[in-house]
Amino acid sequence: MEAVSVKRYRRFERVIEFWRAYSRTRLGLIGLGILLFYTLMAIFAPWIAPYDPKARVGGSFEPPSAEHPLGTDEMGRDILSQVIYGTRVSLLVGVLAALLAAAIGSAVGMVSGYFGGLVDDLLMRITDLFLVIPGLPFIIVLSVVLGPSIWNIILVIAIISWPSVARLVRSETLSLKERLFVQASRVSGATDLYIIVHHILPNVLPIVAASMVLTITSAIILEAGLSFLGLGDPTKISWGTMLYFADRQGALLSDNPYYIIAPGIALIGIGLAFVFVSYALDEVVNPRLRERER
Amino acid sequence: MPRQDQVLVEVDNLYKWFPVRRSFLETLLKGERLFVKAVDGISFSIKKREIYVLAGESGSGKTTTGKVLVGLEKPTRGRIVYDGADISSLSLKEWRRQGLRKKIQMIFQDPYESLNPRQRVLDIVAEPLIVNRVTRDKREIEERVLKILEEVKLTPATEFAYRYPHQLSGGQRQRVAIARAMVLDPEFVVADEPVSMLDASIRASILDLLMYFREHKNVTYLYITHDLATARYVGDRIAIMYLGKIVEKGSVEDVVTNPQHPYTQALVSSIPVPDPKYAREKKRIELKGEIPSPINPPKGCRLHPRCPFAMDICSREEPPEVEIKPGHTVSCWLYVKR
Repeated sequence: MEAVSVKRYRRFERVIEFWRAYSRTRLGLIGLGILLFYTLMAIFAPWIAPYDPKARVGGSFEPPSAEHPLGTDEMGRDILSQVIYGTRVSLLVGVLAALLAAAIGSAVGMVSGYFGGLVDDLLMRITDLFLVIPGLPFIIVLSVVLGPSIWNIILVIAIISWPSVARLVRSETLSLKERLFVQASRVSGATDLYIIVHHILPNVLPIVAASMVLTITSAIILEAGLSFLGLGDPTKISWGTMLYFADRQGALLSDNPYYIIAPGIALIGIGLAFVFVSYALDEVVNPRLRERER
Repeated sequence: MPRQDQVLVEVDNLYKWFPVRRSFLETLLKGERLFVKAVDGISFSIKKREIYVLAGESGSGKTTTGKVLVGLEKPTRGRIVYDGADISSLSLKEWRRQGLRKKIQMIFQDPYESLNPRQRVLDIVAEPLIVNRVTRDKREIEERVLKILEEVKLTPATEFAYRYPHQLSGGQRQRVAIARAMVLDPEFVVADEPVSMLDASIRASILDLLMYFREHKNVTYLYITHDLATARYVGDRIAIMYLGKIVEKGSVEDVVTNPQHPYTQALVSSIPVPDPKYAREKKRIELKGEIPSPINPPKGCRLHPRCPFAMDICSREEPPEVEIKPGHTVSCWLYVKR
């Protein structure tokens, strides 16, 4: 089975090529490093966190100390442990919401761009409708109606994020379907579905992935925003719910301002990391930008 | 060989007009719809095992004709008879259902564009086998791909099969494109300027490859080109197109060595000749200006604004087809005896 080993090697080679281009961007490496840090933190939270984030382990609003590096909250729970566990919810919401938005947006965009005509008109008007809905009020109303649960938040964020993906994918599809290799495939006898799956999708995927990075960022921020407004899932510890309780309990004026500062910095850090990665991806995926740099 | 004279493809009075896209306001202001008359009533027939050349400058409608023949475009009017059956009004689904996809294939001009950059050679060449459900057996697909790669001289095939297009040269890419067209053993292949994007040094080997498939697989070709030199190299019969019409038809030898239509004469005289002695002796016919817009082609003979021999009647009436000798026809008023 020599052939198989050759195949693997070639596929692998493309990944290496991509990595080489990516690793040339310093911002991308920094962003990736920070993301790796957050991801490890989320995965290994039970082992890293010094305490159970929901357990009373100290006094109320204790300032930072050796036992509690970021102090405690109003109920005497460890802030550092809460921040570490909060990473899980933030990442989960961000990634799942962005994936859902990318899936809906790609499907709508490809079908709309590929088939054109009435289908295109119809789908794009629906997309426009979602685009012009004012995001925050819509999300607030929806999450009130659907009730506070992490899955509803994911759904709501996806609903508000897919139209921009759809627009992006549609315009790319419009140019792809005129490409010669799509026509060649049609002459070969490929059906529309086959062409979409095998020729359009692989070629829009890099752009979708690049845009997804930014969607993840906005999803994480949105989740924090919703939770801060008290619309989040109160049973889950997220940076947003931490901010909500900290604000409610007047943490800034208490002995432990880190209650409000720590989750804030965590949010800023993850947001920046994703933005860095998105910059770097843009440079790698978009050949025109790559040329300019040389 | 009696089979030689059997007609495989017959094109009868074929039209392909593309509506010109206009803004909403323009549609309101001007009532009539405008069309790009890419193909404007052409007829020719291709015999089995023949390489039929369709020649002309860019914008003459030759590529559009090819696309109509492989079902990428639907004809506006006219008939296409393939192997005795009228296929001109079939929908894309019908094309597939009748198995025409397996019989009729196309090779495109630009091998840098006609191969998906994200697919390996194996995937590209296997695609016709997969989409036409020739077989589901992966081993068999791979075997057939490797076999056809050997035939188009991409050896060692086991190595080329796992390369991506960007790892290949222009000539190698065109061989992949030919392999994709030939993997289904088609009867009829439209080759749209298959060598015009390639270096002169590798053109002959690609053309030889096309002729190999005629010799060994009985493939019939419509060879589209603007280059009469390669036309003469591969072609049996030729039709010269100008602005959507055929101006001259005949055997390649007759048409190239003894061109009758002023347009053909201009095309032939523009072939560069390496020998300066010959080049000086050669009579040169030059056309004035550029090819006019196919949206609003000249009345009468389409060439008359550029033709050095234009007469009164040329701008009024379309010239009839005149037979110069058996099998060699020309559409020009110069040859109409009155």
